[in-house]
Amino acid sequence: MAITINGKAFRAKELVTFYGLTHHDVSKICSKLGFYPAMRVHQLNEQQILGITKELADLTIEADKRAIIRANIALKRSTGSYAGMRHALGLPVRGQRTKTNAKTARRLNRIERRGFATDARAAQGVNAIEQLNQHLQGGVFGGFKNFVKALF
Amino acid sequence: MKINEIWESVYVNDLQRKPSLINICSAQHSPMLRLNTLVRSSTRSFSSSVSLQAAPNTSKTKAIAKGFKGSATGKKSRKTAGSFRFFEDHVHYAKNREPGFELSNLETLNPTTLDLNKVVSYSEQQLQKLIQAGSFKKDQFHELFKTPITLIRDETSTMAQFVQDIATTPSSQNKICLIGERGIGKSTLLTQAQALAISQSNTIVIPISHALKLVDGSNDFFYDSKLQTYTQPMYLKKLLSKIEYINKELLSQIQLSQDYVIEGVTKDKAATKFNQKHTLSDLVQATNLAPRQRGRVFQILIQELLNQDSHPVLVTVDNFSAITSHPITPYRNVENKQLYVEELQITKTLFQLTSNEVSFKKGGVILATSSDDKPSVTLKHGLGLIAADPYTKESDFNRTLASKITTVKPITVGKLQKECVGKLVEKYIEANAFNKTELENNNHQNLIDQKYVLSGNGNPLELLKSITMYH
Amino acid sequence: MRLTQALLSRSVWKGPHIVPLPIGQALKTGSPIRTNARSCTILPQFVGVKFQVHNGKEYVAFEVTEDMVGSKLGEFSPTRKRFSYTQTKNK
Repeated sequence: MAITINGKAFRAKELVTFYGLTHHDVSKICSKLGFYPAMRVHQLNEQQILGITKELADLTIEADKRAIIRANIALKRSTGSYAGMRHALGLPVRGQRTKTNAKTARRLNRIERRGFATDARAAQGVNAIEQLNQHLQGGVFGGFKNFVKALF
Repeated sequence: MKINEIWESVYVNDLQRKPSLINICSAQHSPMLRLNTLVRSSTRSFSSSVSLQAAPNTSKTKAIAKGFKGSATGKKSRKTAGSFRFFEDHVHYAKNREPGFELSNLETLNPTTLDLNKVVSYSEQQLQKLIQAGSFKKDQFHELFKTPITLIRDETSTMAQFVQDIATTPSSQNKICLIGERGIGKSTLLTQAQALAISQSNTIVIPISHALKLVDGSNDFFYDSKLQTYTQPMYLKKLLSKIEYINKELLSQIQLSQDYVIEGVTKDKAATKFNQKHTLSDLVQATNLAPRQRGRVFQILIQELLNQDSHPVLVTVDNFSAITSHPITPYRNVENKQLYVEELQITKTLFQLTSNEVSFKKGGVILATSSDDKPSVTLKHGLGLIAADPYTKESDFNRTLASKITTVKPITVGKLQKECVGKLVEKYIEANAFNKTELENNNHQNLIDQKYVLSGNGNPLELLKSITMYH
Repeated sequence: MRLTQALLSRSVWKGPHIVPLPIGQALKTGSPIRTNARSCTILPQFVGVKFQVHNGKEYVAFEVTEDMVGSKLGEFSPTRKRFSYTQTKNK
């Protein structure tokens, strides 16, 4: 699970990266909330942060998105299809070679798929919004608050 | 809630540390130091804008280029990614660099005595206002001298004639666009025109020094439903303060022609009223207005300037080609669609002026292109320099925009004569800009011949590069 | 599966790949359909029918359920054996 709250160096568009949140989604959120392209994260006020969390609440991301993907794979497995079998074996699903390579498939393909970016808390089903709040309150980064203070 | 506390502390600090632009440029500094301070405070660098504005007004300032080395309170500040600068920026912004050479016996640029091929400087009054207008760019090698110098060339008289014309004729008849190769002196000519207009003493100058900033998404924006356009409060703040500083006396002479009510940002906020006793200066200086009301202020300012005929108005736009090269901006509306330049208030006003939709009763518009921008068919076709292929893609050739600049007259800025190069070389020798060995091994005429060839037969930027970057 | 992927796999105007099979008869009698048509798309009418689909060597038997609709018959009849290491080749 990679939530990146980039400080002043990055643009608001790169605000948060949640599992299942596409660049297009982020672009839409930023446009809807009226952020200008060069806006940076430390310029957001509390109302805008609340706006972001509200928008994120309407999207299927993190635990919900993982659940959907897992359900799709489980369905394939339960019907006994070739794709389901390849998932279970940890081999490529769409006819790629296996004599060499197939590293990604070996890493990812399984019935209980974890996804590209993974985080222990996400696996426990911690809500995305809670995670954002935890980060802002000095959760993982441990110093976002201090970081903001150092800027001014 | 903890987030609350963070943002509260941020805002309180922010409000306490905002010196006004004019305060920074108090008279105790030398002009070039002031130039640096101003550019620094008006340019958004990589580090926080707030920390830039928080720079104290003392000679002993934090060396931003070297990273923070502790503050007055003794608290350790961390060195951040924002402390990096390119060499060019470093030279321009460094405060403790050696002051440039001061040339003695230079005449000032004066509309009455324009002797061809003469190197002149700007008068104190011109200089102050031009610095405020942002007319001196960091890649123009002004750092060589204590105060900027300039050369009177053929085109200067064209500019002088233009400035004379705007004093009597409407702006619909006075619209020019300076074109030419990189480093040829388009921006410098624009600056000369501004200086001449300033010394005309009743001309109001509206300077847009870097048009790219309008369309590259670096400023905030919002949809003003009353004006029905997108306004850019952060940019307008700088523009209005520039206009106010440059035309302070003139704006206070123009009284409002009617009453205006600037409505509050929200319903419960009180509206601000201006009546006919107020002047434009009162309007621009009004301190009780919120950032979101600046769009309305700008609109009233332009409207009043269009109505009056006592003062000629000169609108200058440098790097105008940025607008024609990027007509679809990175700004996006709530539907996530990119905004077209004419949806933005300032650019919309510009194109109204160039297309004769509106016209100052006395005045003119000078546009200057920049070779930093991608060459655009829109600009060349609009100015009538080429006939665009009818099958050109819409992304390369914006027909609407091209049709709005058809009445603008292109003025090609040519290369310098050999005599001009000679005059400049003499001044640079005087200012110790030359390499010593180069100076010892060549006689005067030889040097001029060499530099004329090296500058690509008279390109001022190439000339300066060949002088300063000689190893 | 996303809608686009289903749409991109085959032109819409062609419709699904249909192979004439004795579905009605199989539904009545409950007897399995033995076929080599691995590329036949499973239609909603197939649900409940028993199939025996050729995998190149033998006929693999399975019964069609609702979840299988939209797949091909061949997807449920694997053509390869999983490799398992043995010390002697004679075993």
